[in-house]
Amino acid sequence: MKAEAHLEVYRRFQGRLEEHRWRAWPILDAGLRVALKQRKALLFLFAPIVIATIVFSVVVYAKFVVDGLESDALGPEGATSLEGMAMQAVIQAQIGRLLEVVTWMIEFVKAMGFAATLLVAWFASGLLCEDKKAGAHQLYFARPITRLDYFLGKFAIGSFFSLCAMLAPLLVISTVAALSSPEWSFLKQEWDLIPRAIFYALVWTTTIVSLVLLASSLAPRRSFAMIGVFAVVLLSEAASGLLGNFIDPAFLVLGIVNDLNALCYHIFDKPVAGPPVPVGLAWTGVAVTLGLSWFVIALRLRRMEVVA
Amino acid sequence: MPKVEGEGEPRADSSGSAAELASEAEIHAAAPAYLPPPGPGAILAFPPLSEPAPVLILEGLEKRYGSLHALRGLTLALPPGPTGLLGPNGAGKSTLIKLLLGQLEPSAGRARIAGFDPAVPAERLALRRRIGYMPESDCLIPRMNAVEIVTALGRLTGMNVRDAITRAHEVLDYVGLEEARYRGLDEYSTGMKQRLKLAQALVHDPELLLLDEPTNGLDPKGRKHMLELVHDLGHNQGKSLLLCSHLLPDVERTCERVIVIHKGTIRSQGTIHELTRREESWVKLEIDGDVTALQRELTAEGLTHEPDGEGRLRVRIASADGDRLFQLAARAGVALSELVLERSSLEDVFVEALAAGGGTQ
Amino acid sequence: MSAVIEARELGRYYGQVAGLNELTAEFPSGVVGLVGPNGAGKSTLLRLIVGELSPSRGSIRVLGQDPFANRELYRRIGFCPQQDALYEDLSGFEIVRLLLRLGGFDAAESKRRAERALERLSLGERMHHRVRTYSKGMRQRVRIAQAIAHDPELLVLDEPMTGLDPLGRREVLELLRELGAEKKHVLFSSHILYEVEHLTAEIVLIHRGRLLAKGRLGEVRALLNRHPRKVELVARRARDLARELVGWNEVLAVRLGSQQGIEELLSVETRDVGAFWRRFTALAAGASFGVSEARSQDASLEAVFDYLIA
Repeated sequence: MKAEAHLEVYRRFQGRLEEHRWRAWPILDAGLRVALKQRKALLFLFAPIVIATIVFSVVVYAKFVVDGLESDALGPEGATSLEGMAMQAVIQAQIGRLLEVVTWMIEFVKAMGFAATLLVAWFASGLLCEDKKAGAHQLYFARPITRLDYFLGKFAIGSFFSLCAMLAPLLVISTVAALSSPEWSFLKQEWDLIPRAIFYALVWTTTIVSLVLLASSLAPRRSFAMIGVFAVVLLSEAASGLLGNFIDPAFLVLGIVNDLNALCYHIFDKPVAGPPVPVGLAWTGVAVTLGLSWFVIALRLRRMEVVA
Repeated sequence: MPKVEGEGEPRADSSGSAAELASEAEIHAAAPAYLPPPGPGAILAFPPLSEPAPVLILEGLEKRYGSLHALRGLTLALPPGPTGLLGPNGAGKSTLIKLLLGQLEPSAGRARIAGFDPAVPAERLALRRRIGYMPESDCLIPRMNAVEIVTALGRLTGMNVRDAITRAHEVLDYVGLEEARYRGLDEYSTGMKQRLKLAQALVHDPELLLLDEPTNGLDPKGRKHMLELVHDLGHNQGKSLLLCSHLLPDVERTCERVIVIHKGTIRSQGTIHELTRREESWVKLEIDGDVTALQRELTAEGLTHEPDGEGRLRVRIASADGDRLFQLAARAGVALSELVLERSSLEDVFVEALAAGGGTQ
Repeated sequence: MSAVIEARELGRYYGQVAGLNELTAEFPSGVVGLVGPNGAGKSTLLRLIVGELSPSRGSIRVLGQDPFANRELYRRIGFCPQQDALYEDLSGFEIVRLLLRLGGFDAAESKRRAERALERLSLGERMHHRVRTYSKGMRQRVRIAQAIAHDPELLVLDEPMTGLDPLGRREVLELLRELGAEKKHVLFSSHILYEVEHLTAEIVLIHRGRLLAKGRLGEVRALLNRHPRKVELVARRARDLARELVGWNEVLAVRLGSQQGIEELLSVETRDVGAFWRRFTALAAGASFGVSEARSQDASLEAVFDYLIA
């Protein structure tokens, strides 16, 4: 055997440096890896969602199958002329159950939205301020990425959690509903619930993640950012409530939760349950919130890049 | 037959005759991109190579913040190789670095690095692939260990995952971070953090390295190691360096050229060798014995001399004439324990450049 | 004559962590440099000396007294710590004046001394601006100013030159030299060995919480018998010279170095450097080897440090 000695010296890089299709992908990837290391937080924050999903699945199942059994049991007995009425009653009951389940599901998605907010607040509050505090922006902005890339990467991390919280349970519930509804009536008649819910999840996610990143870009520390998010949301609620109830209902638009609430029902094409905000105003409210958030974040990112 | 691998790609084939080994050794001993200047008092036996293409060109580069002129009309053509960037605090060094990285846009003028202009967004990203930056202050990405940080930054620069991981381990080997690379950064000493900062600047094998106070906070062992790495990168690995440091002897040890900046202008630039060359030739002596006896001999020979501290003298004499001094010392009955050619220190160059005021040398 | 600072089996532990293990040393007067690798205990030692900490074991006496919680002694000691902790909203002047007032000086005296100290540190122009606006170097100057403002007998500085540019470093070195010349005692720690060497020959080297070496650099070097002295020569007829030197008893090794034009570098290891130079002077006087440089290679503080802390 020939002897070998390898002197460890600097080696040139022989590979290629290519521009990825999406430049900020490594930020998302690395950021998620870091976030997913926090086992306890994941458990704590996802457990309620998982539990709620399971419980709700059981309820939906029960509603369709168990309830259905009862009312179906009413059906077959009775006279022929009664059969017709009974059939109608059964169908009515089925439709009623379906509508009830749909209403519940909307409320469930809304609730998941709030759970998503907690998740995003926990995992995404530090995304910008911790980088600034550690000085890591100096390394990021020396790489071939733009400020927009950086923002999109961080945005994607926050969105991951929000969409996980809102869409995964939705998928489960929809499957349960589809399977347990008689003759797939859920899928046949209420299938549009799914795309609407996805759209709503996107609207909610975009808004919440933007607000959290806004807080993160302004706060010196993660804990401040988290408090800031909740403070802003609650304050806007309080302000809109006060002004809306005592001066002019139009002021309700100031509450971002009110706006999202109104949009929720609009997206699902159902009557609004909660503070009445006209749809046009609600969209405006959300748009203004997003616009302002992104504008301030852009300013803060510019400042991070430029100031040593 | 023992085989030694020098720089470059590992070779699959491990057999080799003596002849093969020699030719491989030749290839791997290829000269770096520039030649170091000849030592003191040497006679050039061959003409110098033509100047290689400059790695950094500044044309009237200016940056203003309102009424504050951070940089005024910097013009410079910097050849490849290790260069020190010196200047008092607030002279404009960080502004210059930000301009080179494309983080700031110039108020006037242009910069070109390896042919790219950082002010042009399209070229800026390509440029950043060829520059490595080691910041002075804390900058390590939180909640990640060393491997993760270097890998993520490598990927952000355009490497695919496999390359990035391999390369991350390679550079961490080079800077000497062993098992510590898997541990959290909370346990890192300053030395380890500085080395990690250097590793992340090297991951994509850039042509030009911007090193900002690399020995900041390091103890003597750490400084020595870091300077060895910097020296290796600049002299053996053919990298161009722009080294910002307040410790002038560090710059002397690792750089061939310096640029002195003050109040936003270049006050002095050139090779260290040229800048520290003295017009007159003085020699410093340390005497073991009766200094006055030697002084008498020197006066008798007509040589100018003056005291230079306890047991030391400065003598004006042609540098090649050391023998004569030994003869005189022997005649005076003393021994010489030091005989060195006096050069300006870089510190003197720095101070003079600052005092001079305005314009380039 | 008692030493300025006397440590006897001095130890200081932070729980399990040994800041100082067992240090016994007498510090000489004048300007003394304290060096050692990170974690050796330099900062702990300095804080024990100025009375910020009390020993876990052993004793420390400064200017003849126990420094811990010793208000009388605090007036005679000035301390410039390493940490950057200043009141951001006060000006440099206000900080120094505040500390002087706390030290017992009256309003007028505090003002006068503060101004004088800050001017000595070249902060004359900016002394009334808020510290928040200061650069790293200026903050360092404020820290040094507050340490000298009350004209202490003993000045203790932990890394006094961090953050300073070359001019600033030169100024502080000059200042310390002046204070040494004014018969003050100055003890400073630094990682930048060539600066320590430049300023003083008296060094104290600690490692792993104990004393490793103390005294004048040249004498400490001479004590390191394990490491023969290395000397460098540059000559035209290097090979002939080498041939000659190899025959000498004092010479342990001769190594031919790199070509520098027509001259060549020669590294020589010798057991007895004094004898070597005497013999070499005679040799170079008699023959003409074309010697242009001759110097010690490893008598610097850096070399000594390397040898001791390998």
